[in-house]
Amino acid sequence: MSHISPKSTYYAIFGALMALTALTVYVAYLHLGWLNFPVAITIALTKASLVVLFFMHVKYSSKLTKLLVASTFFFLASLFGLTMTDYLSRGWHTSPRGTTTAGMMPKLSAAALAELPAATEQALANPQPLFEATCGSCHSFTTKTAPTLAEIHDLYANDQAKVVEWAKAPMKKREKFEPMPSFAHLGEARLQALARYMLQRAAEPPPAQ
Amino acid sequence: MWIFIIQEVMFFGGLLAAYMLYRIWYPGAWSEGSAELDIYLGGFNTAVLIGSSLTMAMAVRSAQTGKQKATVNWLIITMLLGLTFLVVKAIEYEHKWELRHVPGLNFHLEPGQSPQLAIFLSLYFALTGLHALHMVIGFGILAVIAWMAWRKRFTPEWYTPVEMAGLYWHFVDIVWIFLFPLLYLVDRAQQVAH
Repeated sequence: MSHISPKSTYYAIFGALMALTALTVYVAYLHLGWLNFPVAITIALTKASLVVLFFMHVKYSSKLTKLLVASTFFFLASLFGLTMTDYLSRGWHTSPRGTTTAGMMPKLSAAALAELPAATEQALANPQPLFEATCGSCHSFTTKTAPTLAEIHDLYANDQAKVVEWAKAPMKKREKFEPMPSFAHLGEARLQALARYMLQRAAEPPPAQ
Repeated sequence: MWIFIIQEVMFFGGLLAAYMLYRIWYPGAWSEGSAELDIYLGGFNTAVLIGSSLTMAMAVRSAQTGKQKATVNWLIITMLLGLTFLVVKAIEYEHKWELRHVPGLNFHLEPGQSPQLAIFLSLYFALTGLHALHMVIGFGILAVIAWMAWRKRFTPEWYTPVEMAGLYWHFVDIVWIFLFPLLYLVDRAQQVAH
């Protein structure tokens, strides 16, 4: 308790904190992909550790205080870990027939829809991301939960409008698959672009395994 | 005091868990929402708060070494920096009000904006609002401690209230150290690309 740090220590820690703040802002503008977030958190943890150890004197405190501080991280990690393992694994549910249930679908329409590229000309010129987020999650060349792209191509080779029509109001045609939900909420422009892209992709040979 | 701080960490931790979950679910809205926040005001406030942690640490050090006058002065500087932070925060809130981006009170989405922007902004106001409330309480605590120091109540043998107030103030600083990157810096790189 009675440890007195020299003034220079405090100024040095202050300098380090300011430098790390500048660093985190700088790094935020770099293209690191998924690494951006862990890097920002690591810098924040480093700053927090400096404050705890030196400004809050934990470095010079009793073992009991150190244990308490360490326990905070443990509790916080439990809070995050347990919450995320629950919520983030909820979409994994599989029905007894081994197919992904349609229970996932409402999540797609409510949550994913807002994240889809806007129906602008630019976005629709390359509908691949939109396709991957919607039709593509079930319909691929190797899918076992829905008709494959090759099958779709055989059925609708030159009939984009039919694909759109089906996507708006799908019926249950095949016993072995779960029924497809309607995608009418995507809107005409997106559906047309998707149907065009789907048929064009279906015409290409399947990618090598 | 440490046990109080630990429960405070868990209190903010719950909100941060909500932040994380919705960020994973709605990355687009998070990126949009964060782009709306002023990185200069946020960065300025970060510097102000780190500075106030330094002056707080100096106040505790002055109390440890029995310099009563210096303790009072450092505490007053800390309070002024805290006040600066709150004024800047108020300016930011006012911007949000003009944009009609205050969920529950004054909210309106422009065409093309994600509806989940409301969730980001709700968490933004919950997190920064509670943080600001902690600052206001901290300001009051520092005022009492400064008054006690001015009355020469502390000695190098007994300065516990100064130390406790310091721990609280540093904790509030740490909360902001996490809020700044989480709220202001989310996906800045992606926004530049678009």
